[in-house]
Amino acid sequence: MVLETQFPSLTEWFKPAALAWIIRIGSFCLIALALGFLITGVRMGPKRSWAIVKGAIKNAFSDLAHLSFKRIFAVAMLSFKEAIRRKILIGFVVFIIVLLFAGMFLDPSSQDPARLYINFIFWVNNVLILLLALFISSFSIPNDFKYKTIYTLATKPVRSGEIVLGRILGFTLMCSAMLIVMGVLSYGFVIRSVAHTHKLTSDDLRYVATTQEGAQALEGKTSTVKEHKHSVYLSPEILKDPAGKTVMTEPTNGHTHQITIVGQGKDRQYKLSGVKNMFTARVPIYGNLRFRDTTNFDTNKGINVGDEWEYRSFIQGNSPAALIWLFKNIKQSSFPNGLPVEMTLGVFRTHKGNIERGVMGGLAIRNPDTGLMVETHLFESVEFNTKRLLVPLKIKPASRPQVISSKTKLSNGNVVHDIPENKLNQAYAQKAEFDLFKDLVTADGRVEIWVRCLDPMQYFGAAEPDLYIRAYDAPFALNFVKGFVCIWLEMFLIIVYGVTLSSLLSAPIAILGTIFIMITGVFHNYVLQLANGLTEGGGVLESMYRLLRQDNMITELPDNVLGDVISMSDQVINYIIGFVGYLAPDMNQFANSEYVASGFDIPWNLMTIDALTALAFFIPLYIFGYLCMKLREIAA
Amino acid sequence: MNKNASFRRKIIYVIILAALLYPMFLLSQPASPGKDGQAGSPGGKLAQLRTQYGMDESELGDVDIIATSFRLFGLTPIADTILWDAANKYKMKKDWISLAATLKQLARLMPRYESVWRFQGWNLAYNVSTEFDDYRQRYHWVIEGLKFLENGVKMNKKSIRLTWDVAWHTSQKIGKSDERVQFRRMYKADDDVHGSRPIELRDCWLVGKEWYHKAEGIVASGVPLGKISEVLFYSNAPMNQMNYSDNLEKDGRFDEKVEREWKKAQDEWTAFGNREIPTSQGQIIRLNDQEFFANQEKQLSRELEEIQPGLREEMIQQRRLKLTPEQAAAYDKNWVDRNAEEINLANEAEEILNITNMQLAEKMSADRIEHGLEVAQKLDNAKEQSVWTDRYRDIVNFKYWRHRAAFEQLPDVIQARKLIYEGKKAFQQGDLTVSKRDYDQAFALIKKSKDLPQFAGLDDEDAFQLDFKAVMETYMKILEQRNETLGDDFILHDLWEKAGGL
Repeated sequence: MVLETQFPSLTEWFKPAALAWIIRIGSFCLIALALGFLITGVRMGPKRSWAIVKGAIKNAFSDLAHLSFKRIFAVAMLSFKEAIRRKILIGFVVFIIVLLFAGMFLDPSSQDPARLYINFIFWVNNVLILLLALFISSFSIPNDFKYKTIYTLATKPVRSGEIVLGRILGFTLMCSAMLIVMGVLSYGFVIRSVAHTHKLTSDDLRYVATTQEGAQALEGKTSTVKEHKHSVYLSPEILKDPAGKTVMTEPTNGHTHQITIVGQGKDRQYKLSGVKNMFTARVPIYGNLRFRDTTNFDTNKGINVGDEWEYRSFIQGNSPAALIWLFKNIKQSSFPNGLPVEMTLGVFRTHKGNIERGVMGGLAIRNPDTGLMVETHLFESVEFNTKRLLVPLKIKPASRPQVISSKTKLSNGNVVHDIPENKLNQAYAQKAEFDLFKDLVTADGRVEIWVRCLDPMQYFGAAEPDLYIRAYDAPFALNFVKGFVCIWLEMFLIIVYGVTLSSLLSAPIAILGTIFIMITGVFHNYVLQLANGLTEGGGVLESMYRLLRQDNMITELPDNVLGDVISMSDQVINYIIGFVGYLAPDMNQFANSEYVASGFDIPWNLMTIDALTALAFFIPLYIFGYLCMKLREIAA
Repeated sequence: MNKNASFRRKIIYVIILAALLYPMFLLSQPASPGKDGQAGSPGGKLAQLRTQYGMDESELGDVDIIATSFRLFGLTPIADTILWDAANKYKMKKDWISLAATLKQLARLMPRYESVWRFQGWNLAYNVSTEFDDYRQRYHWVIEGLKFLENGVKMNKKSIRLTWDVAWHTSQKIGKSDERVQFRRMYKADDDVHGSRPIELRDCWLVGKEWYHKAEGIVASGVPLGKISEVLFYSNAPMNQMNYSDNLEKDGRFDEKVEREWKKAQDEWTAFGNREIPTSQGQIIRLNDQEFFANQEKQLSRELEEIQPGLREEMIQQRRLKLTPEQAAAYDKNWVDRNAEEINLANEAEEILNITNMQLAEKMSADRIEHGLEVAQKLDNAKEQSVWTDRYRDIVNFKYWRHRAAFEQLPDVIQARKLIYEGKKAFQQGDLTVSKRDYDQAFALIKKSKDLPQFAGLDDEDAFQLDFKAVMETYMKILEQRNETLGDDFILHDLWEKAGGL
């Protein structure tokens, strides 16, 4: 799975994020209070002004302290019923129609149908639920004013904060209920859409010779279903006594089937199971990647082989160059059968070489403390496919073991070794068999995995997430739910924005405002780049000037007053864009369906960061909404 | 206004509406097929016009509901832009599964734009496939590209370009890429692609030929060929037969089937040579006619000179008098000694002294002029036909392939090919003695065959020399490993020299 930006761990993220949040929210509150004090001070004098500001703060805290869940729940139930009255359930009809016609858009012959179906279903749910959330939340409070139902509420002992919170809770409950039902239907849709089995008869299989003298195996292909078939190989061992034995088909289109052999001789039958290994939720442990160049020095980047996309860096074959991943906290108790390593390498050939086979590579394990390095596997590369290798507990080296240090050249020219050359003990390598955890993993669980390309003038490439240790598999259904929780967080934020803005603005303006926030959130990175002047072609006015003049993006602005005015105006506009940009959450942060679609578990760490981010936006928005409601003249 | 007036007005509106609907019905009534032998209805005027100009959706190809519904809502351009952008992004990020899915969606939105199918079919078969290291994965993407194009043909049944593209991709990508040995092997074994097609016919060149014939069938049905060169278009199918025959030998078959297939190739090439092809100047030529017109030209030229012998020399002498002294001096000078100015002067002189056949005929005496003009006219026509035919022959290397197809049928040549095949295998197995012996025997047979009078000039053909060079590559390695060199007594010394080997 491609992870272009690495997310930090919760501990790394929390402290600076919380600090930034407190500073920004605190400054905002202080500025608001200072402005309030100044304005009222001018009108009524400083003493009275101070009393008013103090009163407002006191009231706010009093409102907060006296929030009644019962009243909030009552408002929430009212919102829930209102939403149903407004025929929100029409969203279901749209959803069912989309599911019915989804088959027209989706390609069952895809090499990875699960990924297509999951991505599609998450996209549909996301769009539908966000649109629903947008409309019901933005219309609620303005409609209360329009149809005077606010009088009924305001004349009851309900606090402003409770109205805002009640609305948010009510719509969230309503949309959550819909999301749950849509989620269940979606899960069923995905599972049912890809479910199938194949047929295999004796006529589909033929005997082939094997490397064992006189032994024959059976090979063939299953029937074609959903535009694919699977290769089947029954080894001589299986054929000795096949009845009751089970084997797996070769994987095709991202899945396999289990074959159960029933009966003997002419009565032998092959029963194939449904889809296996299609829906997974791998929990990977990622390491830190560095590169060793051809002169034996470690670097942060490898060679660029001319790819426009610089995600992967490459190393040269048949040279000291290597891809090195450092893993931490690897404990034997977690891996009682060895280390299951999975990797997806890029391959670049500078000459045809041997077309019939892939480029050869070697995988080695190195102890970062002793420098002992043992090659465990020689493998044939398969580009864009995941290669699975199990590093056993007892390792018989595939080549001569070595004891080596890792060295880095500093910017001042000095060379730093991770193990001083004079402390390298070659005696560590003098063994015929090595114990993975005793010899190659440090006491604190650190271990290095080295991958080298063995064919001359050929290259291997990788990015950090391309090699990982597969810790275990989480339940797919749980991962699916996690994906929906991420959608739920987005939905929640849209409801919060919708309700907050509608407490101040009329319904159409609130909708436009929320849509604006949504779009800004979706293009968050671009908006921030624009605000920081990092986009090609300059700011808004500069681009507009070039468009009108049909100039290209690198043409200089005129060196006159007009050019200066454009540049200065763009700086002001960029500042405003930046301010607005920070008001919107980065919606891409919550878009984690690719994890589910690619068969990876959404990390709890990431989920927690997402939830805390949503909370960080909710708190100030709620306060803002409360103040708006408080200040609004209900019977104007 | 009472209730009755209101009701009356509504009734009038309904009647007017119905009256307006009738002409609309007449205009847009759809055509319906006949039942039980009875003729169907041709439909309204619009339906008739659609049929007349072949613009009926179902006439163009399969009807796609998604494309039609997107068109209805006017969303096609927006969706296309988004999908095209996404496809470029997926390609850049090497997300091939998403790319393939996006391309399929894109094509479904614009099913009648053959350029979308062509561009993206090429993209999958040529660009995406080469991104993979494993030839099996490469093959998968080549087939994906082919399937994509075939779907394009389903949606555009009258598209010559798309049908031709399927033929081209099937033939060239599978039959001529670096991985051709592996691709051809996998293609033969691919039941998904071939279905019930017999193994013998599962050759990319034969399947490609079928598709070329389909494209020819579309042209025969009246669809104009457009800007496609006619001579190239019609050469493809017989060339595929040549390549098929050639590859049979490369695959190690040397039985009577090879001779039969080369004979078939020769027949098809001859039929191609007999096809009438319009040139860019508008005249019709047949590639087989070049020798006829060349002979006719010689004969008529002689005949023209004999009508009034000596007239041309006389005219030249008269024109010489019109040359300036500088032009005459430059003309008489040896061409290698002329300077830049003299070259120009000599060219001017040549132009003045050049007497066309018609000018010659016009100067003939009164009793000969009529006959002279007639012969000159015929001579000019024959010359023009000969020149244009020769020019068009060069485009498809016509003469070489005609020779080659005949040459390859000779039993000695088939035996030579077999010896070369076995010699190469022996070399790969390290048996240098057998491999040299096989090659030497093969060269002797080739020498004997190429020296036959009907193949005079064959060894002057670049393609023949290139083919020979490829054979010599292994032979030179054999000599090198045997610590020998190619002596002057090498039996194909002259051909090797012509091929630039010496």
